[in-house]
Amino acid sequence: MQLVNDRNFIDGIKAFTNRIDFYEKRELLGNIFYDNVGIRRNKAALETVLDTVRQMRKELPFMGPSDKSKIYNTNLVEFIEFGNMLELAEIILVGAISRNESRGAHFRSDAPQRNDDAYAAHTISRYKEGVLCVDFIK
Amino acid sequence: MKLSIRRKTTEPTLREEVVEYEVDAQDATLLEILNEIKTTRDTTLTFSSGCRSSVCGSCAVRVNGVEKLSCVCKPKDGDLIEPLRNMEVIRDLVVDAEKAQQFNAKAHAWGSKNSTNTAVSQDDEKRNEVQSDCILCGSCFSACPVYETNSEFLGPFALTRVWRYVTDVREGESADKIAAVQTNGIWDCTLCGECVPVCPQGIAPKSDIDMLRSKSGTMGYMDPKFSSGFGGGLDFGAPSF
Ligand code: SF4
Ligand code: SF4
Ligand code: FES
Repeated sequence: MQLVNDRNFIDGIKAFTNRIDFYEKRELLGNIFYDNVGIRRNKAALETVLDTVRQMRKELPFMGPSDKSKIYNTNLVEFIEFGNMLELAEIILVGAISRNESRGAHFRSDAPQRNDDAYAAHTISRYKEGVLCVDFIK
Repeated sequence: MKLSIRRKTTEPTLREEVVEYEVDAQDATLLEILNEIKTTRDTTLTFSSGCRSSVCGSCAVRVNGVEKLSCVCKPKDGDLIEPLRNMEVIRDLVVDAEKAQQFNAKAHAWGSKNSTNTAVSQDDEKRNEVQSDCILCGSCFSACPVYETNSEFLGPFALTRVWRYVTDVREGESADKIAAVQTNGIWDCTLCGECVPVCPQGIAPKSDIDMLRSKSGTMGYMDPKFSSGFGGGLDFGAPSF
């Protein structure tokens, strides 16, 4: 299944345009993560970053690689990595937003207390009908 | 400052050229500069890298003819950046290291069989500590002049690695390794020392090859050039011991 998805994605890239420079977006992603998704985070800022990340994922088809070579194409590799990065970024954000408490390196300034009743559990992320969901499983 | 990069592509047809770039690089490493050019000016510029901290060995290139790790080297105005030598260029600064790395297998550069003694003291560990640090960057391989005449030479990093295992007290098959480096190996090295200053890990393949020669001598091997030069052996009336 994953292999089929990946093949389709790579085939799809051929039709992507490069109106938007993904290197600029990659830099932006790094910066907003550094500023808002570090050790100290809060719900409002995380939600703003999540919006930005979701917007970037929507725009991915306009951020395709400009190097069309079939030989050692690191522009293509970096683009694929950027797509993966955005997927992980969304998972990290949804997890951090759902965990309304502070624990270890996850310090929520808007919820500074640890809450074992609700969150002494593993975060499990999955797609349900294309929508990213988070469950806390004890 | 200006930086020249030797570029090569085979698509759609072979094109080789030295391209000059004007870069603003305050105290930047060569890898940072290459990334800057790729992400802001020319996405087709091709080079390889990994760790960005001199650990993985994937970013070696030549700067004014001398092998350097891109992630360490800070270039100066007018420098010429080229791919490593003695390996096929795939594209721009990326070379195909496959054949070079296969020499490790040909030279039996691995731990084969545990000896009966598997206790390793601090001193035992120190004996091949430096050689164990090889990151397979290929710098020594690129600097070695032997490839101009013998493309099958096992080469500096593979031979250094053999010495690393031959000196390992846990290795039970040293003799097999010494046998594997007799042909296209230790005797083909000219002991020129070119491989030594280029190693980012402070390894001296030349010295290790010299050690392998001495060890081979004690095991009854000798330099084939020497033996053929004297009529194919010691058969010239010398007293036998
Ligand atoms: S010392 Fe030997 S292995 Fe090293 S560069 Fe010279 S010929 Fe090559
Ligand atoms: S011996 Fe040194 S120069 Fe040669 S591959 Fe290993 S780390 Fe690189
Ligand atoms: S990028 Fe890994 S050694 Fe330079």
